[in-house]
This record gives sequence, structure tokens and C-alpha cells, in this order.
Amino acid sequence: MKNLRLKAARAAKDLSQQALADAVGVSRQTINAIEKGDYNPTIRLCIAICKELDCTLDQLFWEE
Amino acid sequence: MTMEYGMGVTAGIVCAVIFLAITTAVKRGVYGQKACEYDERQTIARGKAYKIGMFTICGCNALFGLLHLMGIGIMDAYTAMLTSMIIGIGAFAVTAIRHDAYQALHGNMRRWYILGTILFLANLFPSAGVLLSGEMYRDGKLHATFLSLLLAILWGILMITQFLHDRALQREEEA
Repeated sequence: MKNLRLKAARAAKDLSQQALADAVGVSRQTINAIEKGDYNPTIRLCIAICKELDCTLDQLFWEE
Repeated sequence: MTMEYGMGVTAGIVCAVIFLAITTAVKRGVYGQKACEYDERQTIARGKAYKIGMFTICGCNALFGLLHLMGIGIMDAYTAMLTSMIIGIGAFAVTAIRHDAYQALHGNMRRWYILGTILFLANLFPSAGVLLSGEMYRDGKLHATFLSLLLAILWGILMITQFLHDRALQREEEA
């Protein structure tokens, strides 16, 4: 399932996939895979992304 | 295997170890501990690629062994073993490239292409000479000199796969 909330939060911060990837120490393809729903990140990476985007885990990764 | 051939193989291995030690030291100097860093998704993808590579080696060895038992000798045992390993390495590398897990996070693509081209040509020219002189076949079987050609093919396949993958990623970014 696509993670559109992550994409929206990244866009709101005016960050490219590459910029976010560099900030959290992963490859651009990994961020792309998370947004497309092709990869399920570890909690460690989720937290790093949340901190970078000033969001909570619930806001970005919790599925209702 | 002749004495000269054994010495040649040993010298080749020694040169490769020295080359790897120097390039690793240079890389460490430039990038520190991040020289060969992969992220979590890449690590998982590499694990799957290793598995594919290992099963490919096993499969090729079994196939060559079976052909040998059936009396269909394509190549001698030494060449068959190394051929299986090279094909296995190729399977690993192609799988890893297709999952963006071959190049490290701080990998320099330009340098990789240059190195790949050098290795491709360095293996292609000697093997072309051996092929034309007919020395690649001995007693109706492929001899170890065939491995140079196989390595040239491997590097060619790796560079083409990487190039096509990069193009696909670029198109995806532009879309």
C-alpha cells in the first residue's frame, strides 16, 4: 500500500527523496520504495524519518 | 596444469590481493568507515542475492558434474568449477543491481564504470588472442584460458545491467 502521507509530509518540508534519504542515511531508492509501499522499513528508520519530517510515527506510518 | 601456468595463477592472485588492499585503503581514507555502507533495504536485498548466487553455483556444479558423468565433457573439472563460481557471482551481482543493492551508498558510479571497462578490455583482448589461436580448446574440451572470456562477458553483462537500471531509475525520477 502506498504511503502517501510520507510523500505529503516530505513535500510539505520541500524535501526531495534524495535530500530525505541523505538526511536519514539511506539510498533514494529506499525512500522511493517506502513511499510506493514496496518496502516495510524498520522502526529505527521510521523514527529517523519522523524526526526529520517533524512528524509522529502515528501520523506517517499508522494504518487505520 | 603446467608449472608456468601455476605460477601465472599465483602471480595473478597476489596482484589482485595487492590491488584490492590499495583500493580499500584509499577508499577508507576518503570515506572513512562509510566506504562500503549499505542501508537496511539494501542489506536484505543483498542477502537474497547471495542466496541466489550460492544456489546458482550449486546448480552449475551439479550440471557440469552430471554432464561429466554422462560422458559429455564440455570443459575440464578445474575450468568447470571456476566457471560455476563466475556464473554464481554474476547471478549475485545482477540480482543486487536490479534491487539497487550492488553499489554502496557512497559508491562512485563513474569510477565503477571506468574500472569495469578496464577489466572488460583486460579480459577480452587476451581471450580473443587465445580464441583465434585455437588454444581455448584442448583435447576437445574448454581449457582454463576460457575463463578470461567468461570474465569479459561477466563484466559486459554487469555494466549493461547497471546502465539499463540507471536509465530506468532516471526515467522514474523524471516521471
